[in-house]
Amino acid sequence: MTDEYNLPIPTITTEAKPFWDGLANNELLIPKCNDCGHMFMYPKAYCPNNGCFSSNLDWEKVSGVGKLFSYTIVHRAADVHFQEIASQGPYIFALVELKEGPKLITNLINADVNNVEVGMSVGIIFEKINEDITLPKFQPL
Amino acid sequence: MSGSLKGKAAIIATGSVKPERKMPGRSGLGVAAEAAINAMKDAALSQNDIDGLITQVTGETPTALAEYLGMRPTWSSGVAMEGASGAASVTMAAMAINAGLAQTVLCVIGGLAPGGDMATDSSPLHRPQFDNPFGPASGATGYYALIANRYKHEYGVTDAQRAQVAVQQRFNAQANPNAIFYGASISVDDVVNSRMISNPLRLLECVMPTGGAEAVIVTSADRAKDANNKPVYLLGAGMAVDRSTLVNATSLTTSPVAISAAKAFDMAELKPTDISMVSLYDCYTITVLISLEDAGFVPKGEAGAFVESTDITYKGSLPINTHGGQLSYGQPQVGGGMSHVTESVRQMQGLAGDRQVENLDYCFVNG
Ligand SMILES: [Zn+2]
Repeated sequence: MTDEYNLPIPTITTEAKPFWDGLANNELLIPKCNDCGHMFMYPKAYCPNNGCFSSNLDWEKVSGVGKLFSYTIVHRAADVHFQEIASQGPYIFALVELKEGPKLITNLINADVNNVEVGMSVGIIFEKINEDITLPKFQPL
Repeated sequence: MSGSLKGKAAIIATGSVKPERKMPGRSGLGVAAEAAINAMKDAALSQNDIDGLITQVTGETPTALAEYLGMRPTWSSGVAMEGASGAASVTMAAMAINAGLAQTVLCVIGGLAPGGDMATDSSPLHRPQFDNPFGPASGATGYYALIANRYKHEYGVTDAQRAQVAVQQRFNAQANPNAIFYGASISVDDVVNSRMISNPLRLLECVMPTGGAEAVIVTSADRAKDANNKPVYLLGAGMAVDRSTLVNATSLTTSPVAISAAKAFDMAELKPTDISMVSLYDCYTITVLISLEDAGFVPKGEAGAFVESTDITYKGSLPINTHGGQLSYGQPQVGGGMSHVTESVRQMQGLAGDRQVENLDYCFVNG
């Protein structure tokens, strides 16, 4: 990534900005309801827990440890620049379940594509793209 | 049963536009209008005979289609249930008719093929923010690949078993001249050796996006008696919404079909063993396997073995997706889901030509 970064960067919404600000500081922050304790993704203005309705929400710094809930090795990417990467060697698009419950779409990196298993333990890697954007990626533990 | 739509409305006509990859010089509204006109001709009805309109035409509103068709309905709605829009539109039409808000409703769904490969969800909350930076595969393939690998982990399914869905549906398409893959048979070897898109899903397990549109006309049970075609009655319907993204899916391997199908069977007072033919939404091979289980036709985890040991073609013991499914007929935008409805109606009417299934009692459709 020494050259200009040409992959899609997140279009950050107001409600999700603290999530991305946290990542820029190498912290994974997940929305948490102060009234019922529910943690959830994606960031939103109201607690989605049944009947709670609370807007008294906070950001909880979490461990960044979880399990690989599922994965796929991408050979044909939607994005043209990701396709350039895929054509040199497929990469892993993944769904990770954090120890605290919520799930994230991410990439599994530093992994042997022939040795990936659903359920394996993974931990976060903060991949800095620029001053504002750091992507939460995961690697096998 | 209170609130039941059982037998209250019937589909009396269908209209389709042959799916094509490219439709030069045509508009989405024009393609949708062609399907609508085909349905009106099929029913020998004109615009003024129809007082209800339900549509989803990509990027367009129901009023725009009404104007395009020269129609002035007194009840109308959009439908935005993604692939389930086709089946949902029939349910909504029956609801409007049962409530006395409309007598005869035209349901039209379709549009032109998408321009590029990029994921099309425009809501910045989801894909552009949380998914696209990680490079999802083209179309929805990456997400269904996550589902397929999770299913493999929980229940085990082989590539050859998933391939059976593609192969047997392709067989069906050889009896459907409107299918985009008419004249192009495939084998299990072809599927498991086709280009990998996003593991474990290969090219021939993925739907082909096309332009096109599908339409039906729904009317009250009373009016259906005077229809020029055999009416096909709606006996049961159910809906279930679980999530927009996989992050919040209750399960990757049990779909909302488990809920919606149970509701539909309950309303119809029927069970899966009463059904002679099944039309299941099939954006990918894995979708058919999971829906087959969730709708109650096969125990959970056994669909792979089932399709490997069962003839699921139009000649078989449990015909599935007799038009070829979207995998072989084409996916005319969200109209792909509606193609399961139009095909099922034609089968029930005895109008399915070379691929006609004999002795049909009841048909199950999902989206
Ligand atoms: Zn709460």
